[in-house]
Amino acid sequence: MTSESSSTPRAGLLWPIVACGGAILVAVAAVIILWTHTGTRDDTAAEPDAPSLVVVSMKNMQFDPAAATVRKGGTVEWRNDDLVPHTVTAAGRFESGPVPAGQTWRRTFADAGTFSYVCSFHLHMKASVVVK
Amino acid sequence: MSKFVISSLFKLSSLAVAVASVGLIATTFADDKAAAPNDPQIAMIAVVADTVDVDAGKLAGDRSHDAAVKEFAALMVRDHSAVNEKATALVKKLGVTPEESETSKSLKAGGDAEIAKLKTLDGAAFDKAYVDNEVTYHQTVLDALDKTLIPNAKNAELKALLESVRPVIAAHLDHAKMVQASLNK
Repeated sequence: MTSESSSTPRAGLLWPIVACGGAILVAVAAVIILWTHTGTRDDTAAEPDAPSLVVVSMKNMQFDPAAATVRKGGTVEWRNDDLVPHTVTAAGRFESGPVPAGQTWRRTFADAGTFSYVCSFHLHMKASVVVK
Repeated sequence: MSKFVISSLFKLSSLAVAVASVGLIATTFADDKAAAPNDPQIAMIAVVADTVDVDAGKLAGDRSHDAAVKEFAALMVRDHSAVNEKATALVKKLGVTPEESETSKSLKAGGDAEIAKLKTLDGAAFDKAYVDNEVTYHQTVLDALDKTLIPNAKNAELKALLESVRPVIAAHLDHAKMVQASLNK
C-alpha cells in the first residue's frame, strides 16, 4: 500500500518527462536538418551535376546555346544545322576545321575552365564552353 | 588620239558601267512590286542571286591582293555555293522547275555588267569597287528577301529555306561593311 501510494507521483511525472524529451529530440533534429540545407551554401549545397554530353547547334549564324556547361571529362558535340559551313575555333586550343551543313564535330574536355571560341568564317559568331 | 584621252575615255566608260550596274541591281527587285513572283520564279531568283555573288567572289579571289578582301571573297564563294546547293536540292525534291522572270534576268544582267566593270580595274580600285558593290548587293538582296521573296513564297519548305538564308545575307552585309570601312581608312 505504501508502495502503491508512493508510485503514483512517479507515474504521473513519467509521461511529461517522456513528452519533453521527445519534443527536445524533435527540435534538435529540425535544427540539424535546417542547418545542413540552408546554413552553408558554398560547398555543401546540392547543385545539379553538369551533363557529360552537351549538343551545341550552329543555326541562323549563331551558336546555341551561346554558353554551354559540361562536366569535366565530358563531351560537347557541335551540330551544323545551318545552310553554310562553320568552324569551331579556339585559337591555340582547338580547331574543328570546316564543318559542312548537316555534319557534326565533337571534343572532350579533360580540364575544368571556361573556353571561348568562334566561327573563323563568320566574325560575329562567338560562344563559350564552361567545364565544371 | 593621245594615251591620256584614251585612258580617260576608258575610265569614263567604266564609271558609266559601274553606275548602271548598281542602278540595275537596286531597281531589279523594285520592279517586282507590280507582279509578285511565284515559287518557281522565287527559286530562280535565289539561284541567280547566289550565282552572281559566287562569280564575283571567284574574280575577287583571283584579282585582289588584299588579305581581308580575299578572305571575304572566299567566304562569298563558300557560302553562296552552299546555299545554291541547298536551293537546287530543294527544287529538285519539290519537283519545281525554276522559272525566269524579269527580276532574275535583271539580276543576271547586273551581275554580268559588274564582272565586266571589275575586269577593267586592279589594285585598290578593284578592291574598293568589289567591296562597295558587295555592300549594295547584299543590302538589296536582304530587302528583297524581307519585302518580296519570303512574303510571297507559298511552299513551306521554300519559305523556310529563304528564312534560313536571311541571317546568312545579313552576316555577309555586316562583314562587307567591315571590309569596306577598313579599305576607307
